[in-house]
Amino acid sequence: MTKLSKKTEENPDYLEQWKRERANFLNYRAEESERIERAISFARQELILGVIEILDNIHIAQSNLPDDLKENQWVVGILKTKEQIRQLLRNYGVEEIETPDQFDPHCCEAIETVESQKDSGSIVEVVKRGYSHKGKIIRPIKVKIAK
Amino acid sequence: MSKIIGIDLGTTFSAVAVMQNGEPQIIENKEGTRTTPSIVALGKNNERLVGIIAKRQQITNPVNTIYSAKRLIGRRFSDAQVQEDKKLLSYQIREAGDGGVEIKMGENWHKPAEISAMILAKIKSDVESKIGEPVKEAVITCPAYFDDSQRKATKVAGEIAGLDVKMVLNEPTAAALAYGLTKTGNQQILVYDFGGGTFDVSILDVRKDPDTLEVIGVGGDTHLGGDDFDQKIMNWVITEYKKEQGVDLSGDQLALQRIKEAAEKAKIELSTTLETEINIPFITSDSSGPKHLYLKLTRAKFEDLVREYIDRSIELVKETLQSAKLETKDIEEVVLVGGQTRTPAINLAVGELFGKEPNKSINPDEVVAIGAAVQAGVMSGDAKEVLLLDATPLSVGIETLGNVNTILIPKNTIYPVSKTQVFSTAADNQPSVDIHVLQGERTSSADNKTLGRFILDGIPPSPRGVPQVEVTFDIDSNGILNVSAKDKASGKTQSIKIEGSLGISQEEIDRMKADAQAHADSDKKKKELVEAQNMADQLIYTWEKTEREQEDKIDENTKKEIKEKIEELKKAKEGDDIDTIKTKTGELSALISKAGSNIYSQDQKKDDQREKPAGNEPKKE
Repeated sequence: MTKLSKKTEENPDYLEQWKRERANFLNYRAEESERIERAISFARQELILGVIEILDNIHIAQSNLPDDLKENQWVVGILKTKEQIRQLLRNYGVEEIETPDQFDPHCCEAIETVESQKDSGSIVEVVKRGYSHKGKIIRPIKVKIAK
Repeated sequence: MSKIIGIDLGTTFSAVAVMQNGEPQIIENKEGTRTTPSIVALGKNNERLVGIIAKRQQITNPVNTIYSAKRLIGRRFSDAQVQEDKKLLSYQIREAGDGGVEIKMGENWHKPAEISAMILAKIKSDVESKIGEPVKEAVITCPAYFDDSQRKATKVAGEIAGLDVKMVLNEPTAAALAYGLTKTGNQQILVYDFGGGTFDVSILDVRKDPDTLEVIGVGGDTHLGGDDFDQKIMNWVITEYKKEQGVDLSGDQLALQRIKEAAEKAKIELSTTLETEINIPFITSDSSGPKHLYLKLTRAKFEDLVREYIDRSIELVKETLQSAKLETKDIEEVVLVGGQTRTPAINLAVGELFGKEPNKSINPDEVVAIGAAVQAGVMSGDAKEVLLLDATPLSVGIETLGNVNTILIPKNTIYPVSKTQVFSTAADNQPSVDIHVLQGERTSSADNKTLGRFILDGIPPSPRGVPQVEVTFDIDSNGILNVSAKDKASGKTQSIKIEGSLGISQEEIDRMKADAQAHADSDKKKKELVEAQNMADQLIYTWEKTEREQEDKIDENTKKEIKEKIEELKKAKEGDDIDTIKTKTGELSALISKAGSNIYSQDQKKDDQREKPAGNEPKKE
């Protein structure tokens, strides 16, 4: 076989290999982009958990507000600011988990069992609200359940 | 060879892109954002500020903050347009000696081209920092309606900034280039550009042999943009608040600033949600204390507020078509440019007018810069045409246990590509595997398209799950799918070649994708059910094997208990209640665990008795 005809025979093979390498690179880049997105989402979770802790304190204040302060406009303003924080969290895919009637370890964490008229295993009190981030539970609802 | 950059020099924002690894990439500025406000200012210490820094101090320094210089570049001072704009500008302009425009910034008068040059110089510097090499050449875009004088002034702006301007490219042409629409044969393309401050319509005529691209129609409104949408929301908020609280916020600058930000944020949110809250605590105060603003704005209400602008844009499109002696059916492709085109109502209006989905997959704020970079790449030889690669429109995979479609090559994977996965048998001593090749996105194999099937036999007798069958999917550059299966133990191989699997019609692709989306929830449940059933199967199989091998170590009570639990699980498995299957699996698993512990403790006792020396003393380690 002449050198030219040998090279002519090899060329389509080289082109195919080149295309494969390029396709592998483009597919890898697309996958890497998704990995980075997941990493960013994961990193954001730390910040989100920190903000949730701050929200916890505002919730405690809100649930213990004396009656005479409930209509105070300064207090109302701060509670509206709390709503801004909740909206911000929602914008990032963070949702509050709805509290079930019965204790469910998939979304709840029991921190105490207490005497209660309710059926055993029922949730008596929500101590801290639970949150999910893009469908994944990042903090379970912390509850007291009936003995 | 240094890169040629592509610059979208916009009225309110500018962007820059460059070819990297054969693809146009937007380059972020020094501040980390992908677009740069087209604003220049002279700060307090006579410091020149450009971009976001200039924008931040705009309110405090309106006289020396120069924005929208593009409205004045290359124009004569006496132009009606300039005289109109003069009324709206917060800075001073005057007639230059040559009849052009001069802008006052500080103590000096500048031509608009000089102001634009300051923006271009910042862009040049930011790109050089990012890519680590000098930038000397650029393609800069301009509106299709720019005349010679305006184009020349744009070129001069680039030269002042230290750039050799290889081309002043029409913005709609750049947008069409970004989508690759100039390569697909003779056609007419309409570019609908709804930006922050201006609305432009352009019609392009693309011809092959010889390759030509001509702008055959232009129209628009130089004072219609996204800022008008924000203003409508602001006006609504002020009116509603006055109705609710009896307070007029229109004279309160700080409140107005907060309302403006909230209005823009609400507008953006309503592109993806049906309702949003405008919540501004402590918006103002009076003798009775602080006041708060809280309103809910629905997408329907927002669309109502801006309907007149959307309708006007559609009228302008119709006028432009008419003046080019064309009808909507003559337009093969529609391209959306400008951030405001993210509004669903605009998308819908344009889609309805032309009876087709407009092109909008590229970020509408960046598409012009991307197109400029493509042109720059062609000019510098960066955009090589030889490696045109396609992507698979639909996923391909095989059927696995439980009639599940297990995908090996997901949709949108660029080919040529090869993927391999190892599978095994579902039953003891299974002599062959049936490779059923599927195409589609549905979970259940029956809901997908069969591309082909073959059998690999000669698998040596083994317990289920032990054989290793390597299945390889290979799509070559011609789109031919080769599927092969190899039993690793015997080395036996079988394969099938499927041609034309990627040549399905766009209609069928869209139908299958829509189908998958519509059934996404039910498919997910089906998959969970199959997984639960398979797990239950595996547990039962494992126990039955253990029972056979360790029969003498398991007492009759335990065997009976587990047998009853297995019957319960088998019954649950026949149904479709995933929770019951999981519960019964959990209960069986607990019993098996307990039985396993007993087996181990019996073995341990035997070992202990065997190891004890004659004197009953513990063995030294």
